[in-house]
Amino acid sequence: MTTVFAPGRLASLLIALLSCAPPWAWSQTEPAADLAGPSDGWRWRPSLFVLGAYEYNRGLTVVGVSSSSASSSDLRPAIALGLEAARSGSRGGFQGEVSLLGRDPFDSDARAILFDGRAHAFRSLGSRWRLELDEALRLERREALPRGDFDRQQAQATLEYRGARGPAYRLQFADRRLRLPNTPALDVAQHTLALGVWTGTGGGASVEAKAVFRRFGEAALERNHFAAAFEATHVQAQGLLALRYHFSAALGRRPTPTEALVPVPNVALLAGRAPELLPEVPLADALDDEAESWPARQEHQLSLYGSRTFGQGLRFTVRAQVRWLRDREPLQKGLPGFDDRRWHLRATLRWRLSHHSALIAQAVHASETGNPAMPELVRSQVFFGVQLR
Amino acid sequence: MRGVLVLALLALLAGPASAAGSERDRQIEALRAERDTRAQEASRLADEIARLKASTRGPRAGGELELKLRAFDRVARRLDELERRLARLETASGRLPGGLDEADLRPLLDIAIGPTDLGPALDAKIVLLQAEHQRGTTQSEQLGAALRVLALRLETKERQAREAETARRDAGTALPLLRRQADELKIELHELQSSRAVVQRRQGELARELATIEQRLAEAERRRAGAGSTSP
Repeated sequence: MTTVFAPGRLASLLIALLSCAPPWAWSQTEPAADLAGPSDGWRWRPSLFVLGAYEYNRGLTVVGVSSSSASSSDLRPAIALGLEAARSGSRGGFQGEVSLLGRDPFDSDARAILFDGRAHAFRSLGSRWRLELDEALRLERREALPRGDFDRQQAQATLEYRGARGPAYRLQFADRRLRLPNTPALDVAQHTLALGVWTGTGGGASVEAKAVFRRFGEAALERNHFAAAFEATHVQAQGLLALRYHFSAALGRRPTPTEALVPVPNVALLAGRAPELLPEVPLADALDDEAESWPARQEHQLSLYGSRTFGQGLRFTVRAQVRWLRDREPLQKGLPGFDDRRWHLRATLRWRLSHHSALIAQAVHASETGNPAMPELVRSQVFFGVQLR
Repeated sequence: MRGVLVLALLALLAGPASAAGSERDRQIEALRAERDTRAQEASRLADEIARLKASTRGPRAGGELELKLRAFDRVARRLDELERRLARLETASGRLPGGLDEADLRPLLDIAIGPTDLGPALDAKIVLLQAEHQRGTTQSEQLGAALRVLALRLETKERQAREAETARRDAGTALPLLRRQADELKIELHELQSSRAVVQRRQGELARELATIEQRLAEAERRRAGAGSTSP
């Protein structure tokens, strides 16, 4: 399997490092008017977050991640640094964000580092064609749990055609890789080809429907998938609502697991080895998209995003996601699949105190059930603190 | 015989093309007519909103202001849509900003008073100057109204762009359409800013042209009055 840092991917990695975007509480920050709007020159903005992070976990003891009781909770400090860059004009634009979040950065036993970067560039090619390039990179490291470290990279190119009348047609190609440096058996690579029809933004509403062909890398049993997605957004001056439904199904028959295929014993033994085998990855990012998951026979995912601004400085955001994976591919070949059910909810309140400071409170709840190796995983996080920029 | 065949072939080819062209012209005309109507509606709402804002204290909008803002939002969205469709049909050179007509942007005539202009010639120039002054005043009012509408549309669009941009950053790769929506809003914002710049530039030019006309009108009337007092 090709790794995320393969030489052929150096260019896109450089783009990601030069651009990028923020996680968790960070990503909730409202861009300043000067960064949200168009301009002919480059604009840069650094930012600093000082946060308290309360975390509650249940179920991790089953897999040996947590040491004490069946559930654990603690309150720890977190610091985040970030940099945003933007440039836009009448024919094209660029937005990039990089952020580095350190949870409990001064305790070597509990330190967790998360780097997140995103870049998005678009350019009109004449009056009918348009090109978009996207790059996203995420790295997570935990000193106390090196098996949970992961790198994820996604590069995507979109070519759009829009005639004088009617909708726009969007052809997308994406390459996505998830790499676990200490557990290479769980690496997943995925290529996606999609054709979408987009209505445009008439009346502030926007709808896209698309058919997708996904091919997973060698590590996956379910190689080829057909997927369809429907997404709608409605933007107003005081708020926004977005809804997305994604469906995916494996093409062809699944190979029957046999002893001869991979000599892995049984689920009980797998659970017994779990500290080495099962990282926190499934819940590391409570709100990720459908392309993150390991392949499943069938997948349904519903995502909702809503935001509302009150008065001059108060903003409330809700993001929710429900995902059901039927007959999900096990983490090791040769084991039977299982149904994986997850739901995530995140609510954020941001109160702008001045042009350079804001108070932030964010609550995240994630739940995952169905995996025979870890019957129930629950994680809740609360961030609260101040943003300075 | 060959000539007749060529002509027949040309007629066959030109027929659909000209039909398509006239269909396009009809579409443009219809869209422009609706845009003008909507622009007038937006202008009226912008004036009412400005009046209500001036009488509202505190950050919260009153009920009537809220209703007017929503109504303006609806009209502005329709204007966006009409301008988008027009932009795809019109050539770049034929496109005018802010729902303005060509007459709204045409410079005033440069009417000079020569030293030999006396009597009927002077009177004719005074009439011309007065007509141009009237046209300039009307144009100035139209530009002012267009600017008020553009200012309010920009305010709304900036807030929408900020909402979409925040959502794009927050949702990450999970809701990809938000990225497209945010891009589109930025381009619309840029176009509105460009329109405002064109109208502001024209407003500045018009103010200078009007000042020149007023100066010449005063000079012409002085001269006519002088000629009247010296005549037997």
